[in-house]
Amino acid sequence: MLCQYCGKNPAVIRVKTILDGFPSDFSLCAECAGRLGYGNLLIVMGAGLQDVPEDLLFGEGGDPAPLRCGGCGSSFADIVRTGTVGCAECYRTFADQLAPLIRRIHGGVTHRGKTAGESLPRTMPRGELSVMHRRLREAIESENFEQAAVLRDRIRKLEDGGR
Amino acid sequence: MNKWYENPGDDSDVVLSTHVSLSRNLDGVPFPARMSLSDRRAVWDRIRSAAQRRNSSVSGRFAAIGLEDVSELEAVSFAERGLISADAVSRRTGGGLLMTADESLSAEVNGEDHLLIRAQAAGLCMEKVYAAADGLDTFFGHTLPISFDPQLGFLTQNPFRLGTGMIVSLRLHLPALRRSGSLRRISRNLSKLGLSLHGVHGPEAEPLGAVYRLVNRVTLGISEREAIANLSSMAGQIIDRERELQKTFAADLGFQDTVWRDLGILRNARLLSYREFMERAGEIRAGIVAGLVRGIGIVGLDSLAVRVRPATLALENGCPCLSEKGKELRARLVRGMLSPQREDSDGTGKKG
Repeated sequence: MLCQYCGKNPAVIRVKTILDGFPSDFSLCAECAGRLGYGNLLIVMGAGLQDVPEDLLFGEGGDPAPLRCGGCGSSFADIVRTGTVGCAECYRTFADQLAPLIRRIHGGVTHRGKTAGESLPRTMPRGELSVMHRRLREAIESENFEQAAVLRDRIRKLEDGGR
Repeated sequence: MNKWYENPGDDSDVVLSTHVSLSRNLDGVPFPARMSLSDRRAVWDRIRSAAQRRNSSVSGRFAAIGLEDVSELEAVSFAERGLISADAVSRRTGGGLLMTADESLSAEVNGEDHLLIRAQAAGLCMEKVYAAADGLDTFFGHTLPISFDPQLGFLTQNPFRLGTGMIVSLRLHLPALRRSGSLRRISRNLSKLGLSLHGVHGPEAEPLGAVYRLVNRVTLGISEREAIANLSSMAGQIIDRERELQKTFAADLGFQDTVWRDLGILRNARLLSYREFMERAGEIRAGIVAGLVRGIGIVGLDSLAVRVRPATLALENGCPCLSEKGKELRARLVRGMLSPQREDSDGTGKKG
């Protein structure tokens, strides 16, 4: 099947959409999927639509006992076949295999921006703090004192160096 | 209460709406593609309970809707209104939706990720929309164990969303750029900058009604603020170019003829498909912006474009399913809204 966007290259992924009131899908080639922002692992693996035989990944005969993720039981072949990572733990289990793919997608870089969870080291730049100060002002102005108290405590904590 | 799309927004002559989404997952549970049904139900329970806990900063703000309790038609209508993904419509069991009454802030549960926070507003307002999404994200970050890695950022099912997990998009009405034939070239150039510009309704060469989506593609190695600044600067250039071109088209007799013919058809049609509405409404919108058509407001036309979507229209009129009746209902609603007697003067919303 040809890509429904460019009409030139073979389609490798299907993307769901709503058309005229019904769920429907359209097929895209790797290039258009990437360009249109519908990328998934299948397009960086050069695979898609049809299943990838395991011996293509691990040489002839396949691996009799492939490494499986302790979190969800996925093998790396499962990840490649579906184009989706199984769970957070997979990123640790298959770090070596995923690293080159992530580099191909994002250019081999490290996360910048917001962090999650209170226990993690916080490296919040001044800009973020000023945003929080603004939100604190807004919360006070809108008389949302409960939220203001939470914000005030968090700002204090951050200004004290994340302790 | 007004829905977000019924409110006026900044720069609404070109920008229909601003959308921000944040992909998040819970630690210790497989991502949605590998979840069991009991996992799905448990995750929905945990997220719903967190949002509905008494005395929290978000308590009372969100309605919680289990997607397995709604019909396919209702689910499609949620998708039409940008509240759930198209994928979630066919996988409703164990899925959920949290949303505010004006639908401006919502969270899809067990779609592509455990939690997809969405904020949306009319016109151009990236900072405000991001702040809304970020506020809800911070709340969940404090109440639930969110999967995060210092190197890779927020962990997501699709590695293309790693890092901030943030997708920012603008819906742009670009009739003049479409006419000029330069959008393919612009789209190719934006692609080199990590942005994407394409039709909102699917991979069509000519998007319905000249409505396009400008969206960031890179999420790892670029902070939320940098991504917003990038998109904002590119959007600014596209908006300026569209406005320049609109001035030259406004005097074109061919353009004027199309606008008035399309208005005539929408004011008189007895059967109207959604596609036909979108194409003709796109031209009329350009006519309003150009100052040709008076008495019809852009906000009214844009909110009409949401209300006449097939599933949303059927639901609003109490129809249990989609049928040919939809065309008749759509034509009647559109005639009522666009009739010459109706004086609606909410302006173009153009800034400055």
